[in-house]
Amino acid sequence: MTDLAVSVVEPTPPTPPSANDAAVLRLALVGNPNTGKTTLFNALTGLRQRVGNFAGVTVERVEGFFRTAAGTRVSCLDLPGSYSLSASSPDEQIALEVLLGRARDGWRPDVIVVVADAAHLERNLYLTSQVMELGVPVVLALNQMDVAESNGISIDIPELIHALGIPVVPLVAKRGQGLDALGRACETAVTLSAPSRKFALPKAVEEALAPVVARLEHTGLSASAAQLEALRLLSVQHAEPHLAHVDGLEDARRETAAVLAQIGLAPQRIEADARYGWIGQVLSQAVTTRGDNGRSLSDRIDAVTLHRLGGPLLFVLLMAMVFQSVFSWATPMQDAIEGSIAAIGTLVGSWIPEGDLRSLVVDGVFAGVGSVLVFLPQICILFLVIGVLEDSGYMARAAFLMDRVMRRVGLHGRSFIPMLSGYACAVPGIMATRVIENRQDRLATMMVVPLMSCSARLPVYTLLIGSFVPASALPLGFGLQGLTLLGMYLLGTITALGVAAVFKRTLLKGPVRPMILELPSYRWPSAQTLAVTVWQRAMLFVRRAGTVIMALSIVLWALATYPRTEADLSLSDIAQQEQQLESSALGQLGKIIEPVVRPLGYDWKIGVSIAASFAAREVFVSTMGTIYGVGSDDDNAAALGERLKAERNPVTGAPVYSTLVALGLMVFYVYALMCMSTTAITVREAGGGRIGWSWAAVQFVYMLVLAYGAAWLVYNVGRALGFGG
Amino acid sequence: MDTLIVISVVMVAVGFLARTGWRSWRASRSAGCVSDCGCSPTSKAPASWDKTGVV
Repeated sequence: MTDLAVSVVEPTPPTPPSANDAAVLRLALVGNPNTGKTTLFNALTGLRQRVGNFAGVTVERVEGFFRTAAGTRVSCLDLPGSYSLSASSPDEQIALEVLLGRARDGWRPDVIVVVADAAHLERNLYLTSQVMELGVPVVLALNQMDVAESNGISIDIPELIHALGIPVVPLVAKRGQGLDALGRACETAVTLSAPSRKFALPKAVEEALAPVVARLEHTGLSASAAQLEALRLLSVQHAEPHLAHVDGLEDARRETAAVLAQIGLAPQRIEADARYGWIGQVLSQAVTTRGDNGRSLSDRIDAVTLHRLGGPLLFVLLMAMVFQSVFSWATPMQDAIEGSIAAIGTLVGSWIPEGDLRSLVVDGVFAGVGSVLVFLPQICILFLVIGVLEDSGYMARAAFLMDRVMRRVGLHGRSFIPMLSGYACAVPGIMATRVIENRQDRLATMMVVPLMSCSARLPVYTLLIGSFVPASALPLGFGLQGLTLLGMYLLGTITALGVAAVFKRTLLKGPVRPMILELPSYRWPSAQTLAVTVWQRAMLFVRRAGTVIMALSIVLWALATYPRTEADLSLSDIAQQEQQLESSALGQLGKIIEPVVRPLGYDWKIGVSIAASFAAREVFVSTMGTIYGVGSDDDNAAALGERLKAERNPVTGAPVYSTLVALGLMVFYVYALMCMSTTAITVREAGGGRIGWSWAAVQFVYMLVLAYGAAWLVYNVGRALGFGG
Repeated sequence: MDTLIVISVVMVAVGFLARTGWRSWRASRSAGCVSDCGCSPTSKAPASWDKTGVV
């Protein structure tokens, strides 16, 4: 989604308590990726969430609030997923800082809840064992117990509690099972002493680490946390800036590294061996696996979804279904919203006497905002279906399938995530490039993320497809409209890969690095997670329609209405409206733009709508709504598609919009970077200052050239081939 | 009266757009969010990252 607005999302019905409120139990949620941590967070907090950034860094901070069954108020921080505390990327590092109580905003957890996947306990216990050394009470939340049981894994909870020495709570977060017990366990955990390390490192390693540990203990860390941090510092090759003030730390770290190298010990390897040795003992006591010889259900599904030929085919079929569903399911709801907006517009219009104020309300606000709001069902359906694919575990398979393609064009497999995020909005997509360590790969990804069709393009696509592409049925339940929409998304994606390949072979040359991918077990999506996702996307859309889109609609209405000219009474009413529109400020501006867009088959109204949508893409639809609202003599605020179909060239009498013009226009919107927010974020993420601006300029110019060239080709080649237009 | 209301509404809309544009510009030079979709829990990078299992 694109926009001008700056805000922090605060979908918080009740007023949340202050994070520094002493009466609040502060709880940090950590866990490996794919353990259902966010599902648990949503299940605990519902919509009582506050989203912002961690102080001083651009890593997102999501905090939620809830009450336990006993009434304790809990402030819960959802930390980025991580496999270990050996932090390397910025989001992993911030998680460690929070857990160590070093967050800049002073937030310190009273209890740390480690969310573990019960079906993959061995790997999850690695992070748990590290968290247990931080000197803070810990609770282990064993999520996805149902999946573990169906995989024949039986976990003896009392035995596990005994072996770990911390409270363990079995959960099925997506069904809300075990949440009360988790609340009670957290209340109990704060009364217990913090857990400690259950195994010892070789004596030689402990002795070598001692100087670093001693210095870290001076910063307030417990002995075990200091040892954990010392091991991490040896692996990251340097002490981070926030530890620079610790006297002699860097010298001690270098000295220890030299000692360990001299005696031939690799501390990370020794640490991993020791931890996994202990984890093996714990598992042998508490976990039994039955009939492990057969393949799991996930393995059997993967045989199809990851098949060399069948996998990509299924992926394309699924995507086609996603886009077909956007049309098939949305139509009744869209008709209802369209009818309601038109009815309300007519009703409100009837209360206001004929004049400019009535025109402002009906032609400006209702026609402009209403023409965008009718696409709310499409937005909801798209995010619902994508949410199902994400939450079921299929997206990891999609990442795997895409990795082959990514490598071929020279991108790192991690680039898939920012590109996937780009389908929602290029802004978080570009922010997500932070997870790519190599600068060349990161910049190449940043340059192409805006080519992924974001949700702001959806109203433009659906307006034009719904109006100019016939709703013909095709085999297998697909329709021409759905396939055209899929085509637009595929066009953006394929072009993004091609452009990335060009960048990686020219301005941003660099080697291709492999990616490690974990495939989670398939699971039923959580209804609550889906509901929260769809609700938040819908609210963002409605909020934008009610703020930026409304303000732009009002301004554009004023430009389309003034200056007033004397009407030629010999003309019909419609011709008089048209004459007034053409002599308005917007009309005159449109006439200036028209020569530029005429080669693409567009008239001045389309040209001016494109120009207005450089602020945000959906503004194209609202501008068209306003222009056709002002230029007509009825009070029907909606049904913009019908008006476009009826629009005729005043000279030739031919339709202004043909399927070819609509197709060219959609292709223009696939490629053009019409989003100020995206440009702003590119400036910042590409390095800021002159470098950031240079990359943002490169991005804007190449996308505009691509958009104009492709739209010109579609229109002119189409006409040459006799498709009309 | 109608004209006065229309002028006021248009001025408020222009002011609102100028304010949001200015805030967006300012945020591009700091650590803040440049858009409302950049801060959504459903679209944040770590969550998407979690769901794909890419490490």
